[in-house]
Amino acid sequence: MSELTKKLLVASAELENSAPKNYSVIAGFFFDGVTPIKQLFLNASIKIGSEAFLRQLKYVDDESVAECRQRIAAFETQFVKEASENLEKIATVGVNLIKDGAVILIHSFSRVVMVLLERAAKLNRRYSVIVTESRPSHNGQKSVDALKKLGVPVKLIPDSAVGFVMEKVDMVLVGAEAVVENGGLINQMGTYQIALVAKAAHKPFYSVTETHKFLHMFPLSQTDVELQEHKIDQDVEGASNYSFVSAHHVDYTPPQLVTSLITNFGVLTPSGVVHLLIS
Amino acid sequence: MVHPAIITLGVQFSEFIISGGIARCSAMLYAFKKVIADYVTPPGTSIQRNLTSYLGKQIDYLTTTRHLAETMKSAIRQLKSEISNISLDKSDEDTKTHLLHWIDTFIKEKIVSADDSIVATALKFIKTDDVILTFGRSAAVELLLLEAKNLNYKFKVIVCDARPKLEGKILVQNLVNAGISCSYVLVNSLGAVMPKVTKLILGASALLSNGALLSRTGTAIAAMMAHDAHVPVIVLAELIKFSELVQLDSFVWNEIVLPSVLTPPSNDANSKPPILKDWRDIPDLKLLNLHYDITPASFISMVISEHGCIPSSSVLSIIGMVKAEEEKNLKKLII
Repeated sequence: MSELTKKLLVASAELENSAPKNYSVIAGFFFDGVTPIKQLFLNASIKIGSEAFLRQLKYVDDESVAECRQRIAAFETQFVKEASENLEKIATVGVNLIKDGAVILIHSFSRVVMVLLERAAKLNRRYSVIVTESRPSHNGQKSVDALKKLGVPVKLIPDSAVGFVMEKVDMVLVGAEAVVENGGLINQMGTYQIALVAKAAHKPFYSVTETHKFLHMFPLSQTDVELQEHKIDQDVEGASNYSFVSAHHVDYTPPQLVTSLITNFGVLTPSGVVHLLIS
Repeated sequence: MVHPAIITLGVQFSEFIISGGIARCSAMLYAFKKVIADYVTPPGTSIQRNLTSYLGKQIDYLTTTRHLAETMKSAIRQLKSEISNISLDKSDEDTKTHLLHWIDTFIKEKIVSADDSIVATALKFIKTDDVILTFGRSAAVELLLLEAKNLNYKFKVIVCDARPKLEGKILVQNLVNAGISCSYVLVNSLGAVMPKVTKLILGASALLSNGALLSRTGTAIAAMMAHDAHVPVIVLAELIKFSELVQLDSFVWNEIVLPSVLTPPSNDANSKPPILKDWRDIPDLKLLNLHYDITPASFISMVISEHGCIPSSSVLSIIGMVKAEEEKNLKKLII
């Protein structure tokens, strides 16, 4: 049994090292520990995904390998099913926050935020969106394209204009790559800045996230968010200008700046998140 | 009726010879061990039924010497619960052995082991070239800093202290003896040193349900200055210090200590006598020497207990968890 654990640990470390530039990645499942076989449709980080699987191995000792494999396979199917169900729950819960005539500021591109906005558009809520361009990745453009398809009026702004537009905005909506132990967020670079401006302007700042993104980590400052070096794609225009950003593409938003988190368990405050993690 | 060990303990408490939540709790438990060992069941009753009220008398006496610390209240609660759990057909000798063993286990688990666990967790947050500020003298903080030095971490310490107790002096002595590079300041210099500080680590007397910290007078000032300078504030507290009480400010409940120590000491070289020498004769003047203060939860970044690290807003959840476990232990024998 411990050999299987060892193989899984090695393979998950391997996967972690080869992770592409996004913190949010595919989690793999290993049957024989040789190579990752299945791809799960998840937006969890490698760390979270493999943590979840490795936790299953804790009960390993008195089972046979076949039993263990069965249990892990069942867990995996359950995980995938829940993942898509969770997105539905989030959309149902969060759509009530989007009132008619709302102006929403979103940051860069987040899949979960898109799911929520899509649901609101389907329910014929009238709202407009302001998207930050989010250099150097230019992911904001992806949001613009997706929203245009939904027929939602959308404006693209440079990251420097967040302060300027904040007075027109009714709420800020971001995703989360991970939620940490004190209820704070780890999200794409620029989220912290936007949260600060929103707080100063007294605008609500919401984060949309599934509960499986909760990490047992407690950063005290920006430098505590330890990540491997993720290089920005070489072919992104002007990437070579940013020697600093190439090493960091996420930042940490402390819980005091977050109004609430929209999760598959409902709308939680940051301290509610901790309560959930403890129980 | 009061056991001599308890009388000694009472003197040690009221004269502040033994002070600090953990020290007082350990000393009390050791004294209880003597009390239980010497206990003789009066005729017509059993040890399981009578011991609790006998211990109660000892505790009442202790309360007159000095208010019980939160750690002591936790220990007493759990000891009483354990006594009521003992089956009635156990002999006196067996009961005593069982309780003495229970007390040893309690100290080992809830104090020694807890401190080890807290130090291990807290060490993860000490980075190279950290400048760690601490206030007064906390046993847990001292343990942490000495262990970090032991493991050759590179860091510096600033000890902030306040009159009249000036407990920080002993901490500085111990740290310097271990080879740690230290600075010593009083509260009025906090503003000057704060730009250099990377984190503030504090000890606790009790952690309240609203996440507030009850600790030695002056702690709140250090926490406030650190919070203002965006310096993370870390509190080290064992689970026995977590309390169900809620306190909104430092006046609603506090311990008043001898006011005379507040008057500045007389300087022999000076011809002028100290201004407050005859303060008792001034009718409108009262000196107030408070022992504790309350640091609001919003100033605290993180609480480290043997359970792990939590934000101060989650203290209530932990208390709920601890209570549920205590209830479980209580119900074990009622079935």
